Amino acid sequence: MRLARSMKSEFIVLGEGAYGVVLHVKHASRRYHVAVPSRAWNRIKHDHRSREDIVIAVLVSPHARHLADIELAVYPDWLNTAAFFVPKTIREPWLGDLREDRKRMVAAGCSRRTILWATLTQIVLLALHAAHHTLLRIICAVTRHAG
Amino acid sequence: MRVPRLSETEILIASAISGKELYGLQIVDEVLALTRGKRRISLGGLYTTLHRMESKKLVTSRWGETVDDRQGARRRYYKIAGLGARALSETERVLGPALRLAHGMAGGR
Repeated sequence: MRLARSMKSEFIVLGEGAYGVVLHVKHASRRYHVAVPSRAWNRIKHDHRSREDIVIAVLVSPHARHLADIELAVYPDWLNTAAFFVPKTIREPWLGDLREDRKRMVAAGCSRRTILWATLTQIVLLALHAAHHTLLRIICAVTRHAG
Repeated sequence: MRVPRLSETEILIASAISGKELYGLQIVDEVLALTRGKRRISLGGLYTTLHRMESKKLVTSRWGETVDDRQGARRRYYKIAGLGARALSETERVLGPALRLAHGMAGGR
C-alpha cells in the first residue's frame, strides 16, 4: 500500500469486531477501517499509537484486514460514537471500564433502561468533569501569567 | 520538593491505591468500601482526577491486559508514587488532629 508521509497519524479503537480489534486509522488525511487480532494490537504501546511508522506498520501488516464497510466491521454500539468526544488521554481506559461496568450490571440483572441511564449519567459526569478541569487549567494559566 | 495539597477526591483515590496497584473499576469499588458506601466516584471524575494526579507526579500508571468485556480496550493500572504517599501522610498529619479536635468540641456541646 502506498501512503503519503509527514502527516499526523493515529488510531482510534472502535471496538471488538468479528476479525479482532477494529481501528479507525487516520493517516495522511485519509481514513481507514482496519481490524487487527487482539494479540497484535496489545503488543503496541499506548505511547506509540500516534507514531507514523507504527501506524504504517499496522496498515501494511499481513494480519490486518482492511474493512470497507464499518457496519460489517464492528458490532453496533453507540458508545463507539460517543467515544470520539472523550479526551484522548483517558479514552481507552474510561471506555473499557464503562463497558466492563455495563457487563457487570447485565450480570447483576439490571434492566436495559437502568443500564442506559447509568451509562448516560457517566457520560454527562465525564463531560462536566472535563469542562471543570479545562476551566481550572485556563484560570490557573491566566492568573499565573497575570501574577 | 514542595508537597502538593490534595482535594477530597484525590485523598480518597490516593488512599484506595496506597500500597496496591488497581485499575479504574477496582478504585471505584475500593473508595466505596473505604467510605462504607458513602462516596461513589464516577468514572469520569476518577479518570480526570487520575490524569491530573499523574501530571502532578502523585501517581504512576501502566497499561494492563484486555478482557472480553472491554472490547479491545486495555485496563490501566494506577499506584501511588513517592510524592503522592508523602502528600497523603502530610494531609493526615495536618487534617487528622484538626478533625479530631473539631469532633471532640462538637461532642462536648
